Amino acid sequence: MRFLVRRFLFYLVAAYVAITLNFFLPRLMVGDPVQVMFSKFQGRMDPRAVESLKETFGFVDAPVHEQYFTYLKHLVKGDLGISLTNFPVPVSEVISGSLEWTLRLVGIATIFAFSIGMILGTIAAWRRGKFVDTLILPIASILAAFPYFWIAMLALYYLAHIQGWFPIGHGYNLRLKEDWGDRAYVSSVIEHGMLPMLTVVITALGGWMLGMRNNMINVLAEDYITLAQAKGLSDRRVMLVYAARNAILPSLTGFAMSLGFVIGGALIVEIVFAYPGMGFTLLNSVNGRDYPLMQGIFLMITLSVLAANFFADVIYVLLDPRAR
Amino acid sequence: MSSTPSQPGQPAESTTLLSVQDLQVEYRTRRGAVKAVDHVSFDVSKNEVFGLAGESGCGKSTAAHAIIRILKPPAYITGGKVMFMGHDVRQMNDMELRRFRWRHVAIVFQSAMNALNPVLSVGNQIKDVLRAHTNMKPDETHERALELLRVVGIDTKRLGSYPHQLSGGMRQRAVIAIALALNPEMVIMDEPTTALDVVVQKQILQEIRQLKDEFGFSILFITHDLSLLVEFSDRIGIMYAGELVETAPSQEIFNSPRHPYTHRLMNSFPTIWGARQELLGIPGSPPDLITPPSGCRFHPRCELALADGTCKQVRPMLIDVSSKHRAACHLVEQQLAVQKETVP
Repeated sequence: MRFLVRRFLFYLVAAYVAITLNFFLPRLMVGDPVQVMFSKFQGRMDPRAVESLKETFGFVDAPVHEQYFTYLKHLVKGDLGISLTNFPVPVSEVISGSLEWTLRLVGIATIFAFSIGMILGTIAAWRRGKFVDTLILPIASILAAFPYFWIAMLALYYLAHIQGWFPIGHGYNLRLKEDWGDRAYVSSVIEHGMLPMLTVVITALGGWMLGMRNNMINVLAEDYITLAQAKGLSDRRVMLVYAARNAILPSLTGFAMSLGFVIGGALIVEIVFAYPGMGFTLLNSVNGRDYPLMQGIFLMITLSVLAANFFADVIYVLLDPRAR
Repeated sequence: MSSTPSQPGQPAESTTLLSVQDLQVEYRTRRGAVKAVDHVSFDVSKNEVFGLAGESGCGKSTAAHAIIRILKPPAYITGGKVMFMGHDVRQMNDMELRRFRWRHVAIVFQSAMNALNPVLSVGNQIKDVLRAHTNMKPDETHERALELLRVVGIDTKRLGSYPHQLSGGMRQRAVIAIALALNPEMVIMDEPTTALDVVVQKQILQEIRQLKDEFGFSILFITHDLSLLVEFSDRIGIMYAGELVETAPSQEIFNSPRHPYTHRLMNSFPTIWGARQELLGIPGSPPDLITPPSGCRFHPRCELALADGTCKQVRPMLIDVSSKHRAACHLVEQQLAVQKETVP
């Protein structure tokens, strides 16, 4: 428990540092980014947008420490400024709108890929050199080596475009209204999510599986495994409680990191499938030089990575008594 | 080298618990088969402590692991028989093997550090063996686990402790508690005290002795520390390069070792009491077991090797030196022959 409190305090400090950096970085830039942007828009920018920008970056005529506190105050209220590309929608609204799509698609895909990878890795190592292992191993290696965008585009082209089994893009059928009470909408969301999720799971799976298989093989060589077998325990117990539970520990950190990066969206998936998540929004904000939105997204990514790390610590404590 | 339990010098059939006959184990490597255990035979009687000693890599641990069939590839038993209370261990199927292990023979491993699962509490690691072999209810396994901790001298409050929270000595005690969980007839102890400091080593050995006297199990004790073995065991077998080269009661090994290797091994340890003497050690290094030396495997390192080439060409057999003492050495054979001639 003390360990978790300590970690939590650490992440709190880290978050504060990230937030502060987010404030000071634009200030360290030469010149005034707002003016640069204003000239880029060649005067076609709404004065309110300029105000919003100035406020986001804190380029108001006030001493730096006052600006800083205003920035913090806004942040606490969840006010990240106004998005330029979606003017006048606040950044927080844009983010929460795309966040749910990403959490659903990439979050579920990451959890699936990790779980299936762990299970297959465990089985492959347990039956090392046997049929299952010789079957899974090369497939996993090949999948892990494929570039993601290539598989995604291939799947999109063949399965969606040529075969027509899946919709080509977007998160749901645009003719329907966003309404979770509507069955048609729900099934449309599932239908649109299938292919992107499948491609993410398939490509991420190989890496998890290979990692778990390697860890398992190392653990299986430990004395306590031989002792457990000599004790006459069932294979199932030896495999799960003695081997897998120890072998999974090194993978947990990686899993937490990837959970953290879920918020950043699987950038390429969302671009290839025009999926309305965070990655897609980030791309749009960069293309549209929507600084407030970019800043908001970066802040979210930073915070979610920290949160995911804390989550990893919690799991670690639950699974590994040495961390307690 | 082959022997049957009925030969003179062997304990009577009724008290023999374990009988290993011509055991052969190979490690199949890319360079060829390593004959780690080559035609090894010995018996262990009820309530006896039989020590197996030799240098690292002489095959003593491999032999012990082969007895309860926990060798992992690339190690394979390629020949011989392991009889335990009249049952042929090599013929057992998975189910029989699972029941046989731990209920009848338990093992304590070399390094207590790695013999316990780091993510399970000590209590759970005792209880799961009870659950696997008996129909005990949860409160009964709990009681039994507490009792076992008491028996090996661990504070019962430690039941919920994890291995990393225990000292090396306590971990080794916990492993011994696990070994005794089902009151086995025999416990194989594979260098059980090697990782511990000398003081704790002594304590634990004493406790093992007491436990043995209390519960009456046999011990197959494996170590490279011959001086320790002389004190601890009733009978000793010396292994060299996969072969058993001498067996005798401990005192006899200590007072009058017959095999030159045993002799050298005895001189490799300092004695605390008694005259100061130079430690001799053994020149050379253990042979490559893929292509072991011809004849007597010890001959390249043996300064007493016969000049006529007998040692280099002919493999010596284990012969009776006295009723309980056997050695495999051409020199011993010659000496015995001379004795026979002089005492007709």
